[in-house]
Amino acid sequence: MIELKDIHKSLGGREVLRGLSLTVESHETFAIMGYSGSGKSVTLKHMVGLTRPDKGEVWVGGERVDTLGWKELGSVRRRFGFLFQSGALINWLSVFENVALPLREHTNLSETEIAKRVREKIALVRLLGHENKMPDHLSGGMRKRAGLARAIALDPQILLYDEPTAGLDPVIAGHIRKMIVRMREALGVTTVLVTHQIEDVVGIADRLGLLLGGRIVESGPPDVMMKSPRIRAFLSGQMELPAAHGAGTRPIGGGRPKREESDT
Amino acid sequence: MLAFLASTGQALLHTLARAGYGIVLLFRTLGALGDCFRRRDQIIHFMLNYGIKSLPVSLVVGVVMGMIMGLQTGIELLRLGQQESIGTLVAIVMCREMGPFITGLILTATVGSAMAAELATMAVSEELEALEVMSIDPVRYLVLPRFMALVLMCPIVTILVNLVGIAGGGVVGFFQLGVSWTVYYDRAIESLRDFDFLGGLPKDIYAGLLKSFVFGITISSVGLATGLIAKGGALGVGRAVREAVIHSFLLVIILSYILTRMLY
Repeated sequence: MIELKDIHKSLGGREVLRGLSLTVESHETFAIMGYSGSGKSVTLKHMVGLTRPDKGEVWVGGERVDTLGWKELGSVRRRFGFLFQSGALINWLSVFENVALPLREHTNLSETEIAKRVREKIALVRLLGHENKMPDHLSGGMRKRAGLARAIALDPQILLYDEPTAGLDPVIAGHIRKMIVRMREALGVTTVLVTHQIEDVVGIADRLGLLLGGRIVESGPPDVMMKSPRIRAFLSGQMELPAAHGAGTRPIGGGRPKREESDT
Repeated sequence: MLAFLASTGQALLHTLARAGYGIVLLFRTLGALGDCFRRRDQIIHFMLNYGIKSLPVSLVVGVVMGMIMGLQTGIELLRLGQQESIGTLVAIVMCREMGPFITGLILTATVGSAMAAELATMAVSEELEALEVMSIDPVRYLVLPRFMALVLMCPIVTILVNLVGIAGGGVVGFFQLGVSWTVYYDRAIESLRDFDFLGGLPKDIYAGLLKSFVFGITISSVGLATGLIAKGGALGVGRAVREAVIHSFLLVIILSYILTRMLY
């Protein structure tokens, strides 16, 4: 369903992706692991056309998306729900308004119908009672759950999670993991998640890919991958960082990069 | 020397690229004008918001400017025994130049900076990307309502600043120069009766309003464009606000001269 072929992408003078290829089948849950700055988020952003490859092809549902214009890309993007690392809630809209936003923009549903759909989604992420709160008044975990409710508002076929448990305490992180599983079971979606935490993968993902040096160097079922020396080295923190890691990133207050640069 | 040339060239290219982005954004916004009716609630919301933000300070500055003008010109006119002409001078200067100019500067400081800050905050916190993933065009959803609100609000605030400015001059004329209200008012009205080709409208009034309309376009375009391309966390937000204010100030001053030259 999602296929990335030989993707190359340079950001800020550093080649982040170097011939990355991966395939995610329909209804599969695929996890991408890698160290910070290895290009995990960039890989996700290629799938929804937020980033275009310097070289290579991105295919979604048999359609090549890296060459599409805004309008055509729009119809492809409606198949996706994307949970950003920060939740990325619109900060002047309440939880309810955030979840209602895609429905108001893309459907002709009445306000009553929108309210019903929004409450359904909010209930699915267990945030009922908090729908009138503003993003500033939510904890990190609640913000992610609200972001997830918004991501599923249009009943997407594919859900992308960017570091869904980063920065959360073990209890909240556990809730988010259960939610990922619940989304898959309730909605039957294809799931891609990027993480550097093995707890996000085991028992959740069907396959795990290790992103190193700008490409997926190994992939397979998590239980098989756990025996891989590279995965073990990664998880134990014994893995050597490549010499170029971090090179080319923009110093604070330095020159002005292109829009994509900071999001590796 | 080479390093100096390189950095100067880089700064020039950077400025040109930003100006180019601002112009492209302006055209894209104009291309989205068909959405105005659909977004009318947002436009009205922002008009009220910008009015509340800018009106108190605009009116205070307007009345004080009128008083200063009345006092400065009145003292000289008194020496020549022409103090009754104070109404003519204050009304013409306020409507032609000072009203739109003061309004432009105040809206730059209050609204242009806020626009840049809002959008820059969204840009650095993945909110713009979240909109894009939801296939919501930031130009139609974020830029158009703010742009239209300021373009419509700028002439309204200018009219009010003109009125309080003229009234301020009248106060000085009455209390310090002994010019009666009736004389001041008659002279002020008479001076603005220079009817011109635009449907018999007083030229000094429509010229001033045309200026404020152009200032509204300029301030909103600069603020919104600067915010949209902000990068680099809180530092980037601060930089975006600073650049928006500086560039808008300069453009308002330069355009003020150019428009005066064209209209008179």
